[in-house]
Amino acid sequence: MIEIEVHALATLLPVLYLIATFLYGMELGGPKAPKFRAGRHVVNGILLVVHLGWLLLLWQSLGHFPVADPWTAVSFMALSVMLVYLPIELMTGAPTTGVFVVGFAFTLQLIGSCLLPLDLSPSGFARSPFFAVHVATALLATAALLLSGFFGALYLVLLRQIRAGRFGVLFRRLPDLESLSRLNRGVATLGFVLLTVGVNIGIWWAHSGAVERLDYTDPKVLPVLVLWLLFGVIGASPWIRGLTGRRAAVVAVLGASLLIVTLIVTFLPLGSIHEF
Amino acid sequence: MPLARRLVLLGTSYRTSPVEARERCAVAPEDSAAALRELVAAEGHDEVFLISTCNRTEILISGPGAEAASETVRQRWFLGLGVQECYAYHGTDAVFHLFRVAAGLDSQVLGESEILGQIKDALGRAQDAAAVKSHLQPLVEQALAVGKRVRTETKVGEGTLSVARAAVELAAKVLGRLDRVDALVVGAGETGQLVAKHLRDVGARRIVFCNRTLERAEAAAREHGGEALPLDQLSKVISEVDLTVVSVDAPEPVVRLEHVDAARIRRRDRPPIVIDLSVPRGVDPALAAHAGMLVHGLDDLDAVVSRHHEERRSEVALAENILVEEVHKFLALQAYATLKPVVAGMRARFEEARDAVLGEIDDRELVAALADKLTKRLLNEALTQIKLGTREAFSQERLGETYRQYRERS
Repeated sequence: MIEIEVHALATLLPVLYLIATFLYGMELGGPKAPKFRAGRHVVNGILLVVHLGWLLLLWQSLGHFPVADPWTAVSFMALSVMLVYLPIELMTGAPTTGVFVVGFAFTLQLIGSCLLPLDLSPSGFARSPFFAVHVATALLATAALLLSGFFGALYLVLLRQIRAGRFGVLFRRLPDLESLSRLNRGVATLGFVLLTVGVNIGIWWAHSGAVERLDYTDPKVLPVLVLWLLFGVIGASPWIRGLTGRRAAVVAVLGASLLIVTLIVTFLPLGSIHEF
Repeated sequence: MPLARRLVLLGTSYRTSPVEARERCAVAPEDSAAALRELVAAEGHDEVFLISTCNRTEILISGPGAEAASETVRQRWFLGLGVQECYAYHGTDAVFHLFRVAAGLDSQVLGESEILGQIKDALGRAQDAAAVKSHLQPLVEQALAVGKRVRTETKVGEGTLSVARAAVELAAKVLGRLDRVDALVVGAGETGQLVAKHLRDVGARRIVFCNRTLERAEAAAREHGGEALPLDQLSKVISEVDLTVVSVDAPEPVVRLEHVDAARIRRRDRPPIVIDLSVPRGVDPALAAHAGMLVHGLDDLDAVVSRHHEERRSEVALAENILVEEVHKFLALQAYATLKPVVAGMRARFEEARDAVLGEIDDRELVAALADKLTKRLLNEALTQIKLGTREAFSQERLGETYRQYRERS
């Protein structure tokens, strides 16, 4: 019975993400109607409740934190993007970047829902509570790092447009350069902290006997360390002489690109970030 | 003589030419007397009005040969200076254009009222040079009255931007909250002070005034709560601040590449922005090539002001109705004024005829009173008919159509 509800909600989720993307799109390019704004808040609320409810159902069904296969991980990633982005939107009061962010979350959720296996089977090692903390923090960190790269890219695009005197729709609707720079550094710092927690819990958990062998020379571990360093540097960039807003944005874009490549290279062939 | 043959307006503005072209034909206030004298001395027209602001240079000429003389003026004051985009409005179109300019409908910042002061000053200079007389003086005065009426009866100028405020808004788009911003205002004139006022209103952390005359910079600093520096110390501060607004009246750029400490700029977390509100330009174009700086001019302010244009579209329609009404009134009065000698002649002939008839009658007292009343009644009737005829000749509906055609052409 639960499995039917799980698959029904998995079908509903991309629809909710699509509606949210549309409403954010209206904020960027459409009329500034209050009904769209109110509708967006309602849809965001429903979306979070449904997505969290779906995870709880999965948790109940599997008996462990429900992110042990690639497609539930992709779906959790979509939720992580929303969980990182929505407080930023509330703090800055600038929802115009939302169409890109929520659009990205929609794409992730669509992939997750479409490729979700019909027969969900529990995973042995996923029953540990450390696994839940490790995976949740690592995926939230990934979402934050991707958003940092996204805000960095927006900063560079806007700077380029302003320099060239092209004052189009992006200039009118996007937050100012300074805000984009602060967003880039803010989410990079959040990602750095989450990654620190996630990676260390993972290492501690691995050494406690959860896995047979953790190889630090594994080429997949290196990019994570590089990313950890890169985003730490971005977070600390206001205090690093010469690491200007533009350079921090360039580093964030490079870091996010490295993260995407790492995810694609490791995730798709192996079905997991780790080989064990 | 028809208005179309005695009134021509030539000009170039931000709508047709970039600032690089506009600065070539700009006439500084101190040079306008000489320019007006030169224009009046030319053949073909006997009255001239010249207005030159940061956004436009326009010359209005009136006289029997204005149409023919306009080509010489165009060559000398626009084409000869390398400004190819020169517009020309004749007769009623010229009146429409002048009234639109005074109403702020042709301004880069829609509805701004600075233009009224600029027209008033230009009229004063033209009067001093004896360049405006019976034709252009009432026309320009009427334009000023129209400008005031449009601002009183419509909301086109309500809460409007000025060029100074548009510059501050543009800076905010780059720098975000301006209360964390250090600003440099180069030039302590009217626009510079307006920029400082807006910066103070948004709580700018530090405002430094730099002016050729230190006393003026100090006066501005006292008024707006900032610091003052002479112009030769510009390089000390320009690389320190986040925002530099330049509003000077100088033939050559006062802010140049050598004033900037390139290494220091490269190390800055956010790119400093320089906004030039001067015509001729006060910032060396070479500075725009500096990788670490964002340099913008008057033409870039369109991005900020276009949003305000959209918001005021309905008010523009109301203002345009007033414009057509006022042009109608003005043309009717002008036509009536041309009939004044005819009316005076008619009055004299009527009275002559009355006296001649009275000379032939014996009972003079009664008949004189009758003849006098009849003369006045007939004369009034004739004058009323003439006035009506004049108004009909310039019917408001027809003028509305003429205005639409003028807008399509402009």
